[in-house]
Amino acid sequence: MNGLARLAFSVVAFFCSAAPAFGSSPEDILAFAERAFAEGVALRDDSEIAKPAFARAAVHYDELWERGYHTPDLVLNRSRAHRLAGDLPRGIAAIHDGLAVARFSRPLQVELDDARARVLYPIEGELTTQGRPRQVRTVGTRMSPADAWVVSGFVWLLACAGVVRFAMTRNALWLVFVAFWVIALGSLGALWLQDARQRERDESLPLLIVTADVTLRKGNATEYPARIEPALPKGAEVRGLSRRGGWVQVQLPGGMIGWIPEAAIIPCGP
Amino acid sequence: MSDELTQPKKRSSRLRRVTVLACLVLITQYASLITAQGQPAFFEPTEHYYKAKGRGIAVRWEVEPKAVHVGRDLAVTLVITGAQNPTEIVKPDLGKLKAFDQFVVTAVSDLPRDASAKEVRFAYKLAPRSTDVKQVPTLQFFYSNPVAAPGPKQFPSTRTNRDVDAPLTVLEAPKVERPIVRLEAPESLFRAATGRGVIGSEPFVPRRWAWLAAVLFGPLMAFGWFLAWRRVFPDAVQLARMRRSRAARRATDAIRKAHRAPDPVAAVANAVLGYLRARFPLRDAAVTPSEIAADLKELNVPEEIAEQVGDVFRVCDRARFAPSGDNGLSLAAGAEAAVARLESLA
Repeated sequence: MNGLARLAFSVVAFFCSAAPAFGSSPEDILAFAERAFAEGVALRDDSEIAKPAFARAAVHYDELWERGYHTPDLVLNRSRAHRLAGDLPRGIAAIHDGLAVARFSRPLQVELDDARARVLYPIEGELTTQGRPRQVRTVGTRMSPADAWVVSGFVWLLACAGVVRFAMTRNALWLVFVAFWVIALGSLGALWLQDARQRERDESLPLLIVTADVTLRKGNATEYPARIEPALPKGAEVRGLSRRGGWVQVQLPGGMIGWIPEAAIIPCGP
Repeated sequence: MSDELTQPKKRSSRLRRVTVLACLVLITQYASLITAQGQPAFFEPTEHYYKAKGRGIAVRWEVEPKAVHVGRDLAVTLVITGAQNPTEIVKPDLGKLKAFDQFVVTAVSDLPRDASAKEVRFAYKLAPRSTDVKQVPTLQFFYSNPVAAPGPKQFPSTRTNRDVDAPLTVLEAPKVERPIVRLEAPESLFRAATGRGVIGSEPFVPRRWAWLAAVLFGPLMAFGWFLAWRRVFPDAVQLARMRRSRAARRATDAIRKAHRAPDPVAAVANAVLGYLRARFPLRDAAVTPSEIAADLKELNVPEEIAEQVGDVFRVCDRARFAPSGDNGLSLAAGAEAAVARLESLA
């Protein structure tokens, strides 16, 4: 009887924890995710118990993301839940998913820098040079489209006001004022254009995250020698070039090209 | 000649017959042996035979320690004494023996054997699976006796635990305390945003209409500012226009309110005259309708309009000094029309 009761409790507990991800309202899923995350935080003194709770939270946050809720807060929660569950690669992938929607978000950039710092590259050597992603700071990463809209609208307003002041006063200094703001507006536009082109070039190849320590090889089989030693650490970021026979040809941030098994990567980003 | 040729052929066929006959006899003999005893005369056991040879071989277990916890290894040694071929004896694979299913058997490498050794020692590690295990099982051990006559007695057997059991005390596995490790991570990771905002709207990304609005907003605001400025600080032309329109408005208002005055006709006449003096530089001496009309003509007012204005004053004079059936309303309408026509000239 006692065994039956325990079994029934287990079944109920399983459905209580797993069911929300399937067919529940977003609010319910969010509530379950928050509860699981809070449970993980409460149990943080014992990592063996806390990690499954964070993993549950991550599953629920993933479900919300899949349903189209793409907010920076959700991205942060999702990434943190994955990382605390011990899955650094998925944590990094979650941040990249978020940056594809809000690349200007400062909290996401800080979180990505922190997560990247946890990837176990050697302290120095060619792998570190080739593998460590470079930080790219452009106008697009510092300013949101909404910010740009407000700033450019304000600058344009100042330029128009300068024209009016000139019409009122007939003072040529106002024309200088107008020229200054028009040049500022043009510069901002040029920076945005350059950033858009750079982004188009950089993101033309899919971003992949390495999920396990894996050797980068010269060909698509284990018989091929290693392209670089030691193995790529889990959490490494690479760009996919092509696929063949369960292997992916990838390019490291430093430009080195090699092959890794398809099973050792997850896609992310735009 | 033919006899010489056929002789060797006959001899060889006879030899062949004898050979076949001998084989048949042997096979018959062998078959009779099998049917009689159920096994061949050169019986070699298929199980528990480890190629040991000797006249009086003995086997025993050496177990250390005698008490062990479940899952922990026992050092068990199979000791074989009396074997004549120590180097040829095959080590029994206890893992394949059913009796040893109650143990986890781990093979241990043995020391090199010497051909003249008096005993052979095979070492194992046995980990009991439960507390039900009470002893190391008995191992049956067949060996070959080289001096025995061919037959079953050529392969006698012995066994371990022959005289004494190898008793064991298996204890419950001690409960191992799981090491509790704190989840170490930056404190910021343990903070999660909560509330409806987590699944709120995505960041605002301006669309085409928003950019169009931003482009139009500047010029519109600037234009509005300019208009307001011009209203607050009008130029001379505008000032004059405003003054004119003010005089016309005042005159029209006065004409419309004339019916409330004690002398409505005089009020209408005064309103029109006031308007004319404000708008046109009439001579002070021009007071009669004809003089006013003449002055207006001199000021390039069209004759028709000038005469219409003069008629307004004439009608007023008639109404004041020679009252007729004309009421104040038609008079006021005529005066208002005259003012409007004059204003349209500006």
